[in-house]
Amino acid sequence: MAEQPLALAPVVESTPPAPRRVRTIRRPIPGRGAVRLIPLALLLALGFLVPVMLPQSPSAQDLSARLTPPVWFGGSWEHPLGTDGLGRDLLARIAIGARSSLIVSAVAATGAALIGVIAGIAAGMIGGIVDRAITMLVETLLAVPFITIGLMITATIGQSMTSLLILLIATGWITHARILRLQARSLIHAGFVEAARSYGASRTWIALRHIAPNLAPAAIVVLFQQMGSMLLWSASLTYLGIGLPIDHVTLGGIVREGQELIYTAWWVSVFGGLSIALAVAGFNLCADWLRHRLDPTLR
Amino acid sequence: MQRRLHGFTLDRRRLLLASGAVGLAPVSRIAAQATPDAEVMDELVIDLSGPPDHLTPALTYSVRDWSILHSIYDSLLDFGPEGDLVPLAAEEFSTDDAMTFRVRLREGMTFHDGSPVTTSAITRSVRHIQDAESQISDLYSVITEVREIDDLNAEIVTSEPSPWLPAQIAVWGVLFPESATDESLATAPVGSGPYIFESWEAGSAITLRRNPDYFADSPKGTALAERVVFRFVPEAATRVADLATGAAHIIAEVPADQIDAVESSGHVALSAPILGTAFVRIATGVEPFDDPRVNRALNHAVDVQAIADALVGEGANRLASVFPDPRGLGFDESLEPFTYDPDRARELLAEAGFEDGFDAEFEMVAGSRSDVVESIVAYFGDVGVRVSIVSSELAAFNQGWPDDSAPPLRYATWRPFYDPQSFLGLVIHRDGFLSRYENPVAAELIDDGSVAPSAEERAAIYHELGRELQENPAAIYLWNLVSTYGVNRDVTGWRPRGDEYIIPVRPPVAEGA
Repeated sequence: MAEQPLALAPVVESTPPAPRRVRTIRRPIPGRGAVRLIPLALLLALGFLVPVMLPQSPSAQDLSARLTPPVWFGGSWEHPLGTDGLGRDLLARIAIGARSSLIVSAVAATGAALIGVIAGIAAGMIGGIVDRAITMLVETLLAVPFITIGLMITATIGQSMTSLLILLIATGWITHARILRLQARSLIHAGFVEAARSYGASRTWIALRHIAPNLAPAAIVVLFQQMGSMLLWSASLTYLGIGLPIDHVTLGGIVREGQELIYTAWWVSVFGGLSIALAVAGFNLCADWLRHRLDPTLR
Repeated sequence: MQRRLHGFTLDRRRLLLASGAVGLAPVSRIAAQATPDAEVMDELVIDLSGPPDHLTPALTYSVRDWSILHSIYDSLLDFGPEGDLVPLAAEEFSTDDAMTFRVRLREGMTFHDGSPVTTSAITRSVRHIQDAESQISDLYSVITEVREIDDLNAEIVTSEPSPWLPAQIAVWGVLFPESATDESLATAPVGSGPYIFESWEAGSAITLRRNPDYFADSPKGTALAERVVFRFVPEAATRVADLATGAAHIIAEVPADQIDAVESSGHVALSAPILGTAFVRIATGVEPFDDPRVNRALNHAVDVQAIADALVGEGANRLASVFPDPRGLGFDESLEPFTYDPDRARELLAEAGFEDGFDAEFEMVAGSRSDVVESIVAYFGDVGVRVSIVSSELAAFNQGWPDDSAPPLRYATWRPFYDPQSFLGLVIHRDGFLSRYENPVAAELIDDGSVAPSAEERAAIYHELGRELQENPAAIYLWNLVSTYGVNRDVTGWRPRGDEYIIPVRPPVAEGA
């Protein structure tokens, strides 16, 4: 999985305060505040409120109403975003697709974070053969293209939610592991860790009480960035036909269906694509907001 | 009735008797010459929906692969525009008892490697299919001998009456020279047809060039272009864009929704009914499909005509059983299709003990008509049958036909259907190579139909089989296939064929047409 560029949350105790000039440059970033949470809030509303409010079922077909355009292009409020090739309501499908995409990316990103954090701390703190083994595994996985791993997993265990989650977790933990390993390595020589060690604290106690809390800000920021990229990846895989089976309503699936209809019903893939863009922007802006909230040098 | 057609004598009554198509197929009258304005283009590009894995004749099962195959090879026989069989490499093809088929080859034909086409090619062709692990090998096993009387005369001898054999020969029995090897058959075919194989860019294109020695009065037609490129373009929207921009001259499988896009780009959309049938095969050996009431319920549950009208296009009609078209043997106009009646479907399910429905899996080929499958599945949902869709690659899908562990429902199409024996013997007969249909009555009728001496008797048996297939459905019977092509406005003389092959030739003009 491609890694996102990431500004790391610094170690709380060991980082000197950033120069004042840098802080004044960062301060005027537009929309720095909670405004950045609006796209994610919209997405959550789309995924969890719209399906409850809409009378239309996302799977109810009406072949006599197929390819109805959106309301602003000659359609009606019955189908505000129009209908797809089987006359199913596009808004209802996008809402359900957004919900399933949100759940998939949240579960996969959390799973990847758990594995990545443990692997990163273990590699950074224990060092030696454990570090070399984890580093080698990370580098090997980085060398294999994501799509190749996707094809291998799909060919072995077939198309399903499980195989998609396995793929996303198996490739997603690497990002956490690499970043947290470096941070953990720098922390083990920090004064407060040395102090804890000097009064006889065990390695586990140090990991849980000193290292992990200091890594939490970085892990949380990476987690949210990964939700965005995992949503994009799962949509891409489904678009390519190796993600979720076609009877799961997904944003990638909606774009794929719309592609065949692009000359006659542009709205299917356009609205499907826009909702993916909204989701990815939502997660990235949220990660950005969290980074500013959690990083004392950026406050 | 002896008719003299462009220089050869054809015993049409006997030939059609053998084909089983007599009485149902209007006689096509083929003129001696191709269209007078027959100019040959420099290059013609055809967009097909996907690439072949290989071109081994015995192991080729799809229309898009046959399009390439039958551009390079000729069989002894070919299908005429009305479903009748016409001699192609054969000058005469006749039989008295459907057990000995007399063949006289055209004189002077050569393969693309320069060697003459002789009767030994018939022996090679039969052996190739019998020895391959082909779906058709079983049917070909009735051939006990090919007697090569001389270079041009031979007899194909079968162990039992096989009136359906000529139609199979037209599809599978292509002739190739002695120099052919398994390797060359798969990747660099040499035939005697209108085009010579030139090159194959794996996954993207196959290029052919015109065979200058091809006989001018071929009933298949004359070459449209000096060079033909078959390209493989899976997305329909991309094929339509190729046609609009001039990158392709003929495109396959234009969805009904994109006919307007083809026409608005100034080109021609040609729709033609194909002798083929669409169906959802039901594996009747597993619960709950071992109860015919469930299978009748599924047939009532789906508004097949609404799907046909919305997604397939004009001319696609709900079928009463598997027989698709009056041009093919076995079609029974008096047999009414199932009605769309979800209440009746729920009643039948309740009678069978499934008032709450049931769960099942439904298999389809990845990348094929997922809209059709999703629509059918939605109708199932309306009567409480919860179905999950499994997409399989074409090769895995084909291997899964007889597999007892594969999903019990599968969406498939079958063509050509000029003679139903290959479909019935393989898919419907309980001992068929691809079958998961347990019905001894149907099997007996198929056995009887395969050896009945006259087409009338065969038709009567198949009509009875049609009624049996309604009582104990082997499938959800969908519609006769309709194929739509996009054709560049400057390409003249190309016509869709009833077997759906896209062969880049200008067929002879039927008299009076």
